[in-house]
Amino acid sequence: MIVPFLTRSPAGGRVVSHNHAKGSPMQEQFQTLLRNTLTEMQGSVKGDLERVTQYAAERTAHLSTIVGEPGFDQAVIAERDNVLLEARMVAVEQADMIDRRRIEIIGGLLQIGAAALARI
Amino acid sequence: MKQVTQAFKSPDLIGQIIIIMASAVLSLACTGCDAGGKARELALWPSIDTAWPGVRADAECGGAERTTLDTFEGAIEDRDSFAVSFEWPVIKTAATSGIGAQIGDGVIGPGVSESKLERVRQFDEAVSKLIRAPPSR
Repeated sequence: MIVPFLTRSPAGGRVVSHNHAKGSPMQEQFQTLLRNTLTEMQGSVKGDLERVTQYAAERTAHLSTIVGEPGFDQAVIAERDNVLLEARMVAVEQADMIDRRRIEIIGGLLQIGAAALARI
Repeated sequence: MKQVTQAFKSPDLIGQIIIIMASAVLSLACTGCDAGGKARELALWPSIDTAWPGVRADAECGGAERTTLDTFEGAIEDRDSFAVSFEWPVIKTAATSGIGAQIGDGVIGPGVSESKLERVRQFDEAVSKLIRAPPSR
């Protein structure tokens, strides 16, 4: 949500609406908080997708080395389960991280607002 | 400077700050911060459903009692994470023993046993994730 920040000109004239990167210190702090959080999350999501892909490749490679072993069909099912569990656990880790980040962002917003109010 | 101070004390700015703070609190209340709970419900539990039959078969080979297995299966169906976490260690031991027994009988090869043992390890990790740790600050 982008809230337009209203200020009065130094001469006490008309109210001007600002909605760009260079705004009040509070606005800049808020944008910095969001930017850092999003950058960190993007890196984390990409890393987790690579992790699942790599795991799937490793398990597939393992299967290719045991073709013809007794019970090979059971290994195929087991490896399917392994990749599925790994992918789903990564999804849970990502979701837990989102919950933590959401709490941190909201905490940051409250701190920024409280600091701004304290200066008034 | 006096005009800047007056601008800073303007009701408009105070109002905006209060709106932002109130929005933050409302956002927390409305979303409930439960993406992790949804992921467990919609993703993790179904994957445990899928993997359980294979783990159960290995646990049966390892001598796990049928009543124990049925109780564990019922806990999975009920999505009872605490009951699953409580019963799992016994199942895990039986499944690991069962895989060893299958190698001894020549039913499976060493590579197949590695796949099955990996499944037990993954299942173990999934069970541990069912109960969420409180978010760290």
